[in-house]
Amino acid sequence: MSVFDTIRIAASGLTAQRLRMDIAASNLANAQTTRTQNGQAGQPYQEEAVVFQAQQMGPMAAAQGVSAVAVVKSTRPNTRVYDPGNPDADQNGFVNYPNVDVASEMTDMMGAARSYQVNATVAQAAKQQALDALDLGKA
Amino acid sequence: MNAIGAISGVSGISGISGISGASSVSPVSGASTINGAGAVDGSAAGTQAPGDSFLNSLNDAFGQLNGQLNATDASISSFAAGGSADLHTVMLQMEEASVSLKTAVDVRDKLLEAYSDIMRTQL
Repeated sequence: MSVFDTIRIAASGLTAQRLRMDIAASNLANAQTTRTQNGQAGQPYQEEAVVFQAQQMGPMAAAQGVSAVAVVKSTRPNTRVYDPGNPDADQNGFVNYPNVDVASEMTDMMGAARSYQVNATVAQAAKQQALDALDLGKA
Repeated sequence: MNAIGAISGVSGISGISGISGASSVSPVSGASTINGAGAVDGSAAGTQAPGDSFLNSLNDAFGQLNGQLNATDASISSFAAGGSADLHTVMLQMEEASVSLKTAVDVRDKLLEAYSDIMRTQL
């Protein structure tokens, strides 16, 4: 198992956490979005989540990296708010707001940031290990 | 003895062939081009002289190092040009290339050390 495999596994973790952060940013940015991408009213943004899957990176089957396989939309019901003056209100005066839970998105965002740090530390440790091995050759 | 020990120790560089998983150089053709004196017997294609194997590994390792440096160069250019590459991917690729280069430099140092040890032999 080459030391570069370790770095590559950590890199896959970094990429995964970057995506998780992107999705958390998207969820937070769209926490009040009441229209779809093409301007359709009454269909608020839906909270998204990333699905990760283990993936063999190097020659050793037990040492696995991670890859994102899907971004799924939450099925939690939308938040309905009575606001008849809103242009996106329905006949009864209710506006459908996204099902984004801002508090849990914030914790997810912090989790992504910390996991990114962890993977960066692993990559750094693996690199240091390689440099230490090279130092064995020094007189 | 010291010099010989250094040379055989260095043959561990074949571990580097795992870098990009690229196919390795064919042992028979590589051996015959590098070491013209070593006539490779067709029946013994699986076995080769230790020296040939070492030179092969070295050739392979340097070829892969070159490929890695070129790939790093390309991804840095792409990143600088606003490509879609992640920052960490570029950085880790640079670090991998840097470690590989350090390994190559260490191998070269060991080889030169072994060579000069032998050349200093008093006859």
